[in-house]
Amino acid sequence: MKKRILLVEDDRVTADVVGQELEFLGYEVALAQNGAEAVQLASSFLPDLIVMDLLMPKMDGFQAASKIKANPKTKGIPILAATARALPGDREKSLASGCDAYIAKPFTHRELGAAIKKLLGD
Amino acid sequence: MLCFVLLIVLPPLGVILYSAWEQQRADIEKVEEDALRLARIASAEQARLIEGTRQLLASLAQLPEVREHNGPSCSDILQSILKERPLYANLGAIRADGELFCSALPFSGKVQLGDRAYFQRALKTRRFAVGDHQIGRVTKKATINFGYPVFKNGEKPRAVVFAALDLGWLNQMAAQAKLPEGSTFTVVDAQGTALVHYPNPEAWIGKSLASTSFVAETLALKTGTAHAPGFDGQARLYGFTPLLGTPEAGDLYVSVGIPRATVSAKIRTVLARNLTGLGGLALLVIALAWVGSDLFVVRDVNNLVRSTERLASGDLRARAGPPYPKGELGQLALSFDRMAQSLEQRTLELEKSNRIKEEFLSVMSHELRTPLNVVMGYTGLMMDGLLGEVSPQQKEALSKIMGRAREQLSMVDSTLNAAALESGTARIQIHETDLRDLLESLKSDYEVLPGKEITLSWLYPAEPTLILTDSEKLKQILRNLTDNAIKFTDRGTVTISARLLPDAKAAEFKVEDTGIGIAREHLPLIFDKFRQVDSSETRLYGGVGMGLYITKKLTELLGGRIDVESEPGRGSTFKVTIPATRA
Repeated sequence: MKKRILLVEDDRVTADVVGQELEFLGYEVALAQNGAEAVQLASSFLPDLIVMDLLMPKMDGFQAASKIKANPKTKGIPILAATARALPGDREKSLASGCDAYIAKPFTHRELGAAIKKLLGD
Repeated sequence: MLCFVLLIVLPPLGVILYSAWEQQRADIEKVEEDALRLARIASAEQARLIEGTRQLLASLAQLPEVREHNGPSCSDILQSILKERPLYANLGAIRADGELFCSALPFSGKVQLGDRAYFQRALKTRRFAVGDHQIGRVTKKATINFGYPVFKNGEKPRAVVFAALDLGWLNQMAAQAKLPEGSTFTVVDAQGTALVHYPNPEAWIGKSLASTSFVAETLALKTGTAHAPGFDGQARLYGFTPLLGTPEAGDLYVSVGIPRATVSAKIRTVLARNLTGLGGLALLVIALAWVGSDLFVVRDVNNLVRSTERLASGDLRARAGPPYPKGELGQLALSFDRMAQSLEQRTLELEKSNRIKEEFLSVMSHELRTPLNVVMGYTGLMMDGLLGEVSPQQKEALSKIMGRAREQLSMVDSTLNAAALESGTARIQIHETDLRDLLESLKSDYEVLPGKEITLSWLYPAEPTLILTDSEKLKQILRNLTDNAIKFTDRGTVTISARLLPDAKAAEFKVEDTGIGIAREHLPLIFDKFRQVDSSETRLYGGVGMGLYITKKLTELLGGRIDVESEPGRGSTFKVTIPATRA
């Protein structure tokens, strides 16, 4: 059975390419376009892992991550933070808000695959 | 402040000490005078007593019992007279043949006193006569005897009445004079034998004191004063004079000694009182100076210092604040506050400007990377044939797109890094870093080298070696240097080494290459921004010339330094030294 990944990404084109990458890597993918949707889908879709963009409208990735980690139902889901903002402190901030690992954009499907596998312990 | 207090206290201290010295001199003179006066009084008193004795003996000579040689009756009368006159040791009468027939003190048998000086003189001169002084063998009392001739109808004296004056009265006088404790009262004869001594007469009377310095002085000067130790060794001021009216008895001298310590003690008392007063004054002055200076100077300075310290520690709202004291200190406080005001404003502006820069960088980063994610994402998918078959030419094209996308990413990173470093928004995160892990991780990034005949050589500790630093920044430094070395080396070796310096306080990293090297004249310029040694090389080697600039900035951010040695055509060595412990 395919493992399920929730992709949180507000940019449509990026969502498209990353979605395709995840599918080619062999995962079942659901997409959330902002933090609020991400929190909702995390508890209804119950993915094995979340790939979370950090800079998003409505609710950003940091807030979404801490809400997901605050919910007993979803707190066990690992979160991979993916951001094009590679500024000092972002890594620490994302880890502090509940993300389990961090990958800087841009990345290729190989780099993404490696990061996910590491996090899932496959 | 101490100087100020000294300035106030010194002159009166001088006056006090001088006047104490002056006073002491005056007091010594006064005590000398006192001693001499006492001696003179004693001498005059003695003269008076002698005159009294003369009158007493003159009236005794008129007594019928004396004239008639009526022994028992005479003795009774003299006994009762003696009772009333304690100054006399004895009263009596001697017949012209020298035999004692009447005495206030009891006697038995025949007593011959014909050899006594006063007896012979009285008979001879037919007048009042003074005998020699003598010391009673039993009583230890010094006495002077006086004789007076007794006549009955004839030219020839029938008898001599005598009185023995007890010199001990001088002791009583000394006691009444209320001399200071330790004072002495002494009567010596011409040979220096003590006839009277107060206090402790028993210990001294009859002893020769001629060798005692003040006695020697007395015998030499007769009247005067002396500073000398007494028989007991205590320093005294002596006044001395002859006892009057006894030329026949030989000279006697009376001397009064007052301890020098009395004078000193008195002076010391006054001195101590004055010095205590002065000490009080000094304390008062110090207190005033302290309170005054605290109120008027120290408080203001402290306030200013506190404000400065607050400002220095980052509290931009620190102000000395009104009311400003008068004078320079007030001006200083006022200008400090103005400075703090503009510093606060400027800092707020800078912080705001930095926030804007940081935000801009964040947005820039996001906007530049997001398209690259799409470019690299699709390119990667296509290269792996995941979006359909690709021909070898297409694959090669995709590979070049990917390569350039990565280069662009690297330039974006460099630019953003440089901007962050310059705007001061770059922060370091110090943590324990294992040199071995760091170098192994770096090594794994360089396992595939694109189309160059280069060997990478890695030298690092075989054991875990912990240092305290920002591992991300350090890795970026080493990556930049390694990238540079590879970039400017076509064939040969690039050696990357890491070690902890022997004192364990710093870590040293070297990246050596066998590449094109750098001309000596260019060495000072290579760490400048947007600089490549030769602009033609930019086209040849690519890049925007930010690498070494960023590397240097990062090294400085870690508190370290970067050095370079190079020889054109032979290669370059970059050495980075950073602190291995927290500063």
